[in-house]
Amino acid sequence: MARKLIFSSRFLPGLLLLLACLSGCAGSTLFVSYPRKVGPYMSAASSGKALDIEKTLKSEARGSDGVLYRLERGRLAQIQGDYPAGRREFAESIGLIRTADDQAVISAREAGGNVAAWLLNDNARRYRPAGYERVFLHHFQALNYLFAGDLEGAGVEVRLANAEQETARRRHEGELEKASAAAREKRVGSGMVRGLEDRFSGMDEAASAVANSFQNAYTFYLSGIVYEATGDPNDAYIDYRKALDIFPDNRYLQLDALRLARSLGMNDDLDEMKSRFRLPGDVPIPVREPGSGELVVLYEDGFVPPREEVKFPVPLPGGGIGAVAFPIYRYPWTPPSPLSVARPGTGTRRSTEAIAYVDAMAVRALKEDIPGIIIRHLIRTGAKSVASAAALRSNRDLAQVAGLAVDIWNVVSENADLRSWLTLPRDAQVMRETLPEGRHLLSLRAGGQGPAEKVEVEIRGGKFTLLHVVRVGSAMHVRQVVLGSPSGVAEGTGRE
Amino acid sequence: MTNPIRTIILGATALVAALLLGGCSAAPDVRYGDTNAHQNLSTDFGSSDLQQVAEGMVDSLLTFPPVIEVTKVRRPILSVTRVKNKTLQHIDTESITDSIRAKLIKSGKFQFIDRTTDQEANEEFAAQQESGLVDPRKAVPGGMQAGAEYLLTSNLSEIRQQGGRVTDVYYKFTMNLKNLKSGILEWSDEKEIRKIKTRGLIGG
Repeated sequence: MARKLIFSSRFLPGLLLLLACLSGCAGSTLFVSYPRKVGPYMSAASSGKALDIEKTLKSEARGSDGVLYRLERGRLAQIQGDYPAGRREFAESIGLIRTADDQAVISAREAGGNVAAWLLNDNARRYRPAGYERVFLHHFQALNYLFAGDLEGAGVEVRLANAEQETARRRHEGELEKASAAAREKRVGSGMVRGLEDRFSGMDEAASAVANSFQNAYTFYLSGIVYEATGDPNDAYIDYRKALDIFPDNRYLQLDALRLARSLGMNDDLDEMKSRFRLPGDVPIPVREPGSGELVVLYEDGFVPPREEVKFPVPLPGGGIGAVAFPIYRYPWTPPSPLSVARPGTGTRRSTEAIAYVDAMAVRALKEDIPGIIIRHLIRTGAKSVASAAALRSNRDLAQVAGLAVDIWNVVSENADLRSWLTLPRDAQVMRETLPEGRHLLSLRAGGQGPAEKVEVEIRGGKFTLLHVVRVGSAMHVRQVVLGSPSGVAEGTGRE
Repeated sequence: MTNPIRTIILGATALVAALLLGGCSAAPDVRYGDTNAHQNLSTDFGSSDLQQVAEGMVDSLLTFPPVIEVTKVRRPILSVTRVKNKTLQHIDTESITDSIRAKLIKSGKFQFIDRTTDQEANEEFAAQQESGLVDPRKAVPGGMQAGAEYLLTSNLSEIRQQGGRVTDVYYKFTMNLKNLKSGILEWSDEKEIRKIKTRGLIGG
């Protein structure tokens, strides 16, 4: 009797709602899709409108998915040049991730979310940032430290970012094994599942731009810069080489690796790289002369694409109708367009070169997650078909109404999990040049019909000047900092 | 028909009430702790590690025979640089440096140069020499400070390994004493700390 009641049409939606709330309703994306929540703030950043970070996604940041909303808030703060606020938000995210990582293997809170996910949809699971998001979290936190004039703190963060890459690699290998074992167990690979997998095949082109979702040459490059600035060229060399393994054609990376190989006396490496890179003509390996400093341009372009939902009804095995809703990227991948950096009056013009395809990393991360998504879907279909069958068996007069209600519920409650860090850049590019000490006027122009900007950079002898350029929509945010000087930050000169 | 519903509602109410009451029952427990006691709460570099490292290093330096020899007749002048943080944590290395220096000062074997307050000292000099407020006969003359004979430098590095539920963290603290005149490394020592943490199997 009681069992019948629980599964009967009148109480089921309420019960499920209760479950959903127990697993943390505040800021929930159970019924409102995630991109819709964050979208307005991204539009504001794209038009150069300043946001009050404290008030941005305020209740969401305190909810069960706080870790993700704080990532968005931190990045939005950073985009508008508020590095201290960015640092605060990221520190919160790092703390939340750490707590989740330290949690017991079988945790009551986690289990609550998972049970709700079986009955409702994947949005009920607590958000755990993907490997590439964790890497970027520490990467951008390092940038916040650099803009606070704290090289040592930045050193800690780049080491953490590199450790995350290593952890993600190992986790990925472990998950591949687990997924194939689970697939064997659940006989995933049967006709229905293959049909589902086909629906993801549209993402293959974008995903193939990167070898996996978590290896990040941009992070290794920033790490190399930090090591060079702290006077550890050996560590810097190792990270430039790692970045080169991922982006072998980036000319700036090649020159950095060559320059350090020569100054560290790694002659075998030097010869091997020289023949491999096939530098056109006689490209000189840059020399750091006294009285000159290094300009490093970090260019982050656009926003990573959001996940979209694919939803279609399917008949449930026990009768009734359910739905399948999956996240997908409908995203034709195109190579990034460079930022041109000219020095008016000198006739020099250079362009940034790509060092991370964040869009492809995001697509790849979703692809790597597909086996898990499919398995959770199969479990959910089981649970929902039990509810549907129970409704059909219930009170004869009401059977049709009840059945219909459960079917509607099954379709409505099935929503794809579209959560991902959306304010990440679409791609990242770098440029590096040795310049004489003093002030230099640079003219920046984003690719295509993008915005343009003029900026005066300060170069100090033997030091690095970082020029952080973020382009979102029609806004170009430009800020600079001289590394390793106690006074640290040079005035931001960007205009929107 | 209504009985099971009532049971569910009653049960849920009781559960919520229990949760609410459980959260606000007792006042927080605050007490004094032994600063030397071992507090192993996490694999992070904590206060007891700091104490261990500072004490171990200072003991090692003060009991090194050539150092005993030099400090027997006079108190050499030492400059202590800030500990270089090469770990995966934001550690207040200034505090480790302070602890080591304080312990060395208390030993009475060395004299110290403090470069961290040079900026304030310069401002004070400027006030004495240029403001016209200070009696020139009583103003401290510039350019008379002593130079350090020895430089004490240190590094803290970390190796972290993770497998399954176990995290193994290894810290190495290295310290060097360099004679600035001769360039000779007079003393060097390292201290290692290893911490292993296992994640719980079942919890909240």
